[in-house]
Amino acid sequence: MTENQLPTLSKCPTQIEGLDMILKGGLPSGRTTLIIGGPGSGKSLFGIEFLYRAALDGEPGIFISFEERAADLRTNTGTLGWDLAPLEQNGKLFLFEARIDPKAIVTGEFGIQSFLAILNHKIKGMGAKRVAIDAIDVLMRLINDERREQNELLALHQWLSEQKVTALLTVKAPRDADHARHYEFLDYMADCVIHLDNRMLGQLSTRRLRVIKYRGSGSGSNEYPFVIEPPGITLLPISDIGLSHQALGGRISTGLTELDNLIGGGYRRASSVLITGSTGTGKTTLCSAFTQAACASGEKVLCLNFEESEAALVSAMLSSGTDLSPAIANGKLHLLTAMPEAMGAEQHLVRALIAIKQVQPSCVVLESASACRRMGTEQAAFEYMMRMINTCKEMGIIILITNQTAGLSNLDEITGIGISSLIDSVIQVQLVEDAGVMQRRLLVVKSRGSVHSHRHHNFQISDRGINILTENV
Amino acid sequence: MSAEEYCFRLFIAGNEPNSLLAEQNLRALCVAYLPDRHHIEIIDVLQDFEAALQAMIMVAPAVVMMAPRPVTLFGALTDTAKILAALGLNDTDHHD
Repeated sequence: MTENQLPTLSKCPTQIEGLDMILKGGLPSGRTTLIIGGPGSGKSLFGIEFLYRAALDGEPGIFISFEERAADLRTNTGTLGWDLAPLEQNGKLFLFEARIDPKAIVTGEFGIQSFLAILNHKIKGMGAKRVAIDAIDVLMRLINDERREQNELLALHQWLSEQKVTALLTVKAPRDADHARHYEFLDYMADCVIHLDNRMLGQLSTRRLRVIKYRGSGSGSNEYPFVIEPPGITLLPISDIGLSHQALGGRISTGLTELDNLIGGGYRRASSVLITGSTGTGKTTLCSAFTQAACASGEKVLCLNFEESEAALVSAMLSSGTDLSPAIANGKLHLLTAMPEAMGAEQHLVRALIAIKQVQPSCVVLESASACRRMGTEQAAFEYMMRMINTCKEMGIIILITNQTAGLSNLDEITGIGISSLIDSVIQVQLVEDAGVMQRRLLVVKSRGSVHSHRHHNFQISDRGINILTENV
Repeated sequence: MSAEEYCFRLFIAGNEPNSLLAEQNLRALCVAYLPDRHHIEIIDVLQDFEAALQAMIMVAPAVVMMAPRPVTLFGALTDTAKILAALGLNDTDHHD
């Protein structure tokens, strides 16, 4: 157990990525947690993943669904890559379909004893320690009397704690003040209350989670973005940014001997490099030269590209003499491409983090900071960039970022979107007019931890690659 | 048509008051409106949870009419007029 405030409160880890960090260890063990959220906010999936992860470890759990069919649950979770069937077959997971006949007629009082009797037998039979009750509001709505609903809920709560199961109840967020009253009561009753919502930021929907209360324990108090993508729910708690960065390490060649010489031998491991310049100045070519050389010397490179498709990128680089396809074929180079508008910044981030986890690259190339702005809001793009740079620096990965600036002369814009303090090196590329000819020019603006050139250097891009002229301009 | 058999399954939770009341009300209704053409099966959910699970009955008391057509009723069966309407029975006599 990881809690340090109260040694008496034991926690039940959810194993949902990032959630246990926010809950400082997990849900309160043997107690009831309430998840409140609107339709489509991901409530049911939180319940299932809580059980699914434990079931994989051999701990049995019961999912009670008052709304969705068990078959639909199996299909929906299948899209996340979860296979519930084997767990159901070996008694580690029971999907208890408790849908209430919508045509049923209510006449006179009734209670939920039948539900409890079934649950009781299943808990005992399976030795279940975890129970998720999805859409308990459906059962309560049937009672349609506030005081009786509260009595039944209290009885359920008490019953669950007597069973010593860690319970997770989900409830639909109230649509009006009348419904809100019931949930206020639930808030008081539960030991831990979590709100989920799904809102629009810019034009993209963004999921957020907030822990409203946690009796007897501390918990992260912010709103945490989360995404639902294979392999499951991922929350993104903001860690202690900058505190666990690795020291700048050894050097990897930029792929260009002349450029290596200008910056003291190459890009340093765990450093962040920004290559900035207006369109057509050769940013991508510089990145590709590095990518090709790094892959050739056995490094693994992950390219996150928001500007071009994989095929377009590979063929564009061929024109400057860089063939990336062998590196792709031998598994050294992994490309992850997407339109920035295709999903929210959180989702982009999770995809990138998952790719980093899978590929274990030593270098990440991100094109481009400017395209990230199209992920929604400026703030979202900033957070994406910040998290990417931090993650790479924590893992000792070199991250190369391109940034497209608007003007021809663009020293003012090299900071990208406010990330300059996290950037170790800045290389600026320009097209300048020189005696009636457009001339490519490169300047190492900054390079932390290196003695570097402070001069402008002309360079050429031909079908044999980049040629940097080291003499003075 | 008038000889149609009405089959009911009554789910009760032991001898709690609403369950006892439901059984009483169902029997009285059958005697009054369906004499000699009803069948009542009583299932105690506390004893036979599998039957409750199969029928997806979460609350008790509850009545499931199996024939002549499926109808589900929840509660102590206190509103006779409402039940008769749901079962498709006429309030004045048993003509149908």
